[in-house]
Amino acid sequence: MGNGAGDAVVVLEAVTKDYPLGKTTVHAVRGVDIRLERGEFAVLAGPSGSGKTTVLNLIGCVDVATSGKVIIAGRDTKLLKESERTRLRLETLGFIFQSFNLIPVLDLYQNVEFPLLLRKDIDKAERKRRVLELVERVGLTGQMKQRPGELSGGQRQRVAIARALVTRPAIVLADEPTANLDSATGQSILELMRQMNRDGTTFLFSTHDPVVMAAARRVIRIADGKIADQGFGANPSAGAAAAHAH
Amino acid sequence: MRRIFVIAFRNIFAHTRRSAILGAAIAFVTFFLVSSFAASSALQDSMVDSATTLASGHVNVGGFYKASIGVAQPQIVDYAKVEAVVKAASPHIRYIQRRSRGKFDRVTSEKTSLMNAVAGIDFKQDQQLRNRLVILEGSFDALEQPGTALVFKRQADELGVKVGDSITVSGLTARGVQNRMDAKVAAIAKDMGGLSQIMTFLPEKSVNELYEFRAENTGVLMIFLDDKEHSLEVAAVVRKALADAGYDMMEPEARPFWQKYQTVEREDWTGQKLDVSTWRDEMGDLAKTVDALDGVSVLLTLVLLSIIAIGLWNTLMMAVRERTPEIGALRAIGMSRGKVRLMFVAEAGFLALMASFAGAVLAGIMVAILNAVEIGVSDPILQFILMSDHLSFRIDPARVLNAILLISVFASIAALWPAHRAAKIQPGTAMSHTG
Repeated sequence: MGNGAGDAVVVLEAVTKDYPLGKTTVHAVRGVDIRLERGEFAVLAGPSGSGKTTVLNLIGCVDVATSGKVIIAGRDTKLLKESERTRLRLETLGFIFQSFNLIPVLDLYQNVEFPLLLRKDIDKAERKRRVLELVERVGLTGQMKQRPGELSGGQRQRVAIARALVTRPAIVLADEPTANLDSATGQSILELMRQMNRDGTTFLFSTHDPVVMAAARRVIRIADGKIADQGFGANPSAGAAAAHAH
Repeated sequence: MRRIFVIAFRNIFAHTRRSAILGAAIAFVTFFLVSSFAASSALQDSMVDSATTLASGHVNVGGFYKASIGVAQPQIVDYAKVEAVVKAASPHIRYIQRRSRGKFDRVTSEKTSLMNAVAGIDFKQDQQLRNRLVILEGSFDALEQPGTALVFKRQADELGVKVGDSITVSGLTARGVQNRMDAKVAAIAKDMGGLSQIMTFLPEKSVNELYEFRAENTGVLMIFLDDKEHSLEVAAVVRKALADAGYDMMEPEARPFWQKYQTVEREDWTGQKLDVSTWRDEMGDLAKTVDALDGVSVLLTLVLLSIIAIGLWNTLMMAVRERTPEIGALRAIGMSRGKVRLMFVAEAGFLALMASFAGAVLAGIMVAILNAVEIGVSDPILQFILMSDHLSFRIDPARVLNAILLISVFASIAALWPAHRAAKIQPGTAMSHTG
């Protein structure tokens, strides 16, 4: 792994992100340094407008930093072309969205399988094996032929988790994953992600939900575009693999 | 790739109201285009049928003989030699029919007189005429006798003649003598559109006598092919073969032979010049009218399609706005811009394909019903234009396919800009904007 990343999956070094707003410039992120090791279960926390979604976008190769370095799985995203960033997202990152963002016209199986179809290196049998395994793990085997519109919010988020994990990404980015769910469903989704994390998948959440923060091993607090605190959270059982790494 | 097409296809049915409105508009345009093509195809059929029965082969070798500069006769001198060259020119030639050509001359009865084109037919040999004409009164066999005539129903009514009655046919000879000949009406045939209103058929021998033509000469060699689509190609081959055989040839010109008289008579040559024409040339302005009708149909269709393209563009732009988070998510999970673009173009293409197919089927049903009902046309001018005494339509599968493809491609092109906008959506739009 190059670029001084060591064993880290994500490295942010002195990252800034500015947005022009009319004649002024909004400094959304100001000199952020973050390092995520493989197997972490971390949260980006902060109030609205603090810059956490911007940081998540930078890590997700959805946006490019104004200055500083964003290194994902050893690759400096600023040096990548648009098509290379798309490929990096496909092969290295998994996304879970607040609004699930499943494809409404595909059934559960097809939604989970979709990212694999975008890759050319996975054959049909392997695709099927991975999808069935993940659908079983998220507990939706009985709903395989149902479309998102026929599923509850919690079930949809489970499908989204399966879709995010099916490519076996190095890191899963979850953007407010429990915000649209009731507390009981949110808890079960969190538990599911913790199970996945125990298998070694790195998770990074953007949230201001105290329940999610409590479940995380590490809470990175952001305020006014700067890191306020990178300390560990209250749940030492979360992020087992990371604990081992630390 | 297949799954992208599945998404595109299913999205059509996921937005039923929107798709139904757009689909109905596309189906209507297809219906219009296919119906108008069906009308023009039938008109073309009538025209070919009428032309190749009454006045022309698929290809014709005619020409003029000028004994002096100012007088032209529609004659092929020693036609047997010309026929031998023609026969060897192309494998597409099925058979050759010989006819004598008179001028526009007066046909008179006791009641009235008409100016008609007089043609001399070998009724025994002329298979085309025997196969296509419907005899209402009298018989073909009776026409084998010299001094007989075949007239069409409308002419018979105007002249007030029945089978057995006499008519007088006048003819101006090359020497400038106005000859007259009495002929007995031996057959009355069913009208065949406009051309049949201006033609009178006599036995070849009678026409030769009337115009003082020699028996080894004829007016035209009508060439019938295995497929009329080869007309242009065969005309070119025959023209070259005759030129190579040493015949003087007239320049190709898309006009019927009788419109060429004045030009030929003004020219300062004497002797024989041969003229090769196709059935379309012999139909003159009528063939151009059909082309113009097709052109107007296509133009009108393009206008309608442009309106639909604006509707499609607008609808897809709305869909792009509505589906921004979904598209952002697809981009975030690794879908390339090209595939997003393809998804939207495919959606428009599929919708257009299905809707235009439905429109074509509806047009087919309407055409079948109208053909079954057989709507008659009594107005002579309309009959002349339609080349038939009833409205008819014919669905040409190749033209229907072209119409469907044209509309689908047009719709896909209209979707390019919205698809491009969709492809430009940033993956970040899938994220919440609270942080």
